Amino acid sequence: MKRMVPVIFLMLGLLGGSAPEANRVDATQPNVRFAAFDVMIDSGKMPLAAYQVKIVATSGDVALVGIEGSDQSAFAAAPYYDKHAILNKQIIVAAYSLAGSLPTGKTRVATLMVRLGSSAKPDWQITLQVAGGADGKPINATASIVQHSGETHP
Amino acid sequence: MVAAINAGDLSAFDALFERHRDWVARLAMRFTSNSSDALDVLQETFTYLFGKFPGFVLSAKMTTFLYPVVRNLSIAARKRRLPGLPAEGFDAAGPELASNDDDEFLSMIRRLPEIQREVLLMRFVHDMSLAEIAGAIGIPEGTVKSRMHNAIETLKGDERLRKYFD
Amino acid sequence: MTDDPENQGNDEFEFPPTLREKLSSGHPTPSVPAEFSARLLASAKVGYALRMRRRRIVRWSAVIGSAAAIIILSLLFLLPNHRSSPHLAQAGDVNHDGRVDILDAYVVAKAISTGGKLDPVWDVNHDGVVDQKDIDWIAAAAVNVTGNPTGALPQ
Repeated sequence: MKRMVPVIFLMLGLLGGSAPEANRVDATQPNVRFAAFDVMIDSGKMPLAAYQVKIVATSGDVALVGIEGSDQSAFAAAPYYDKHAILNKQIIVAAYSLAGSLPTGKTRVATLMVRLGSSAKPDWQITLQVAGGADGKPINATASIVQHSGETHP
Repeated sequence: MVAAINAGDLSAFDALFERHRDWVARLAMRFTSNSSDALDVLQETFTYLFGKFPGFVLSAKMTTFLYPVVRNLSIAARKRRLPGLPAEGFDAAGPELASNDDDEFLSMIRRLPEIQREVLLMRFVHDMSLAEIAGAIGIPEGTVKSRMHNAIETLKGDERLRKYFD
Repeated sequence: MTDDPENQGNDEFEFPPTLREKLSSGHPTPSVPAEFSARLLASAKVGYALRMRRRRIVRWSAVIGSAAAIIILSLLFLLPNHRSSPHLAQAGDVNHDGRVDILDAYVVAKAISTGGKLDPVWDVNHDGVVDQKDIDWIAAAAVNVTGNPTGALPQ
């Protein structure tokens, strides 16, 4: 059956639909402000070598304006993300590390810079799509978003 | 440039963007009266345009093609900002211009009927030809001329502006 | 504008230059940050490259269709150690788990950094070498939000 997959794929062709338009963000409000939210990955005892998360702002007047790496040296570089998602409400962020010493436990892997159009706190939905260990195999982990004030958004 | 992009010349994206960026930004700014919204509309407009390549066939001037795109995206942006605003017939001058306008002339422009004001601005602010205006709005060129004529005659009729026309 | 041949006839409406200047200055052009422009163009080019790739594959599939399927079926059953060729595999699905994600990029990066064996199918941009560009290509596909982010082929 596995051998048939490429055949079926070949016969049908890559006729995927056009990409849907990204959700547009709300316009800025007079009391616009900026905030930072940290993306945390908890890999327990397993060293974390790669991660991929999908982050959606489910409520609040929020626009993503930038993404940074972390102060954790293994993930200091800015992660991969879809540049088209900037100014949108959802994004996929991913990075890997070839560092000799990989972090374990709860690790801050990236920081999201957001523009808030109102005083209401945004609600986040974060989905860990995959986390990988040094051997490139998936590992169990959890993801969360933390505002710099310390409040956790699982 | 359209043909170049269709043929795979990615540098033509830059050229196309550079050529029409300011035109789109200015038009979006006029419709939205808000620089942040204008940038959103600018991004959405070019994302829409670039998404049509390869295979895009331009059957008119680029400005004729882009004008309704920018207008519709600007309407959407204003609706997000001011949900109660009616979709059609929104005042192109916008609140920002009104709040900063000390110029009687611009006030007079805003008081023109929208259909006259629009063709006037499209011609003399956005440098569109009569044919481009007709194509962008979807009206005969004769109608464009008629509206333009009426708009200018209205302005000429004001004593304060007559000296400029003499 | 009067020099533009496409605007011949548009000057039948006389509009005083002074008023035209007032009109123009009353509708300024907003400043567009260079980074904004750079991001927009980069995104456009990535999307275009992916669409071009899809077009080539669709065109190729339409031309040889079922005949190719018969040939490939024969090859698949005659070659027991057959591995997916670049034209058959999900481009970027390096670890063959059915999706393109950051682990695929990591596997290639790890192999390059340790001097390990590089599979030619990892040359996803088909420039003849397996290098950082292929890693970036795979990672870009992994984080693309314009399509299904997991289990989807690069658009």
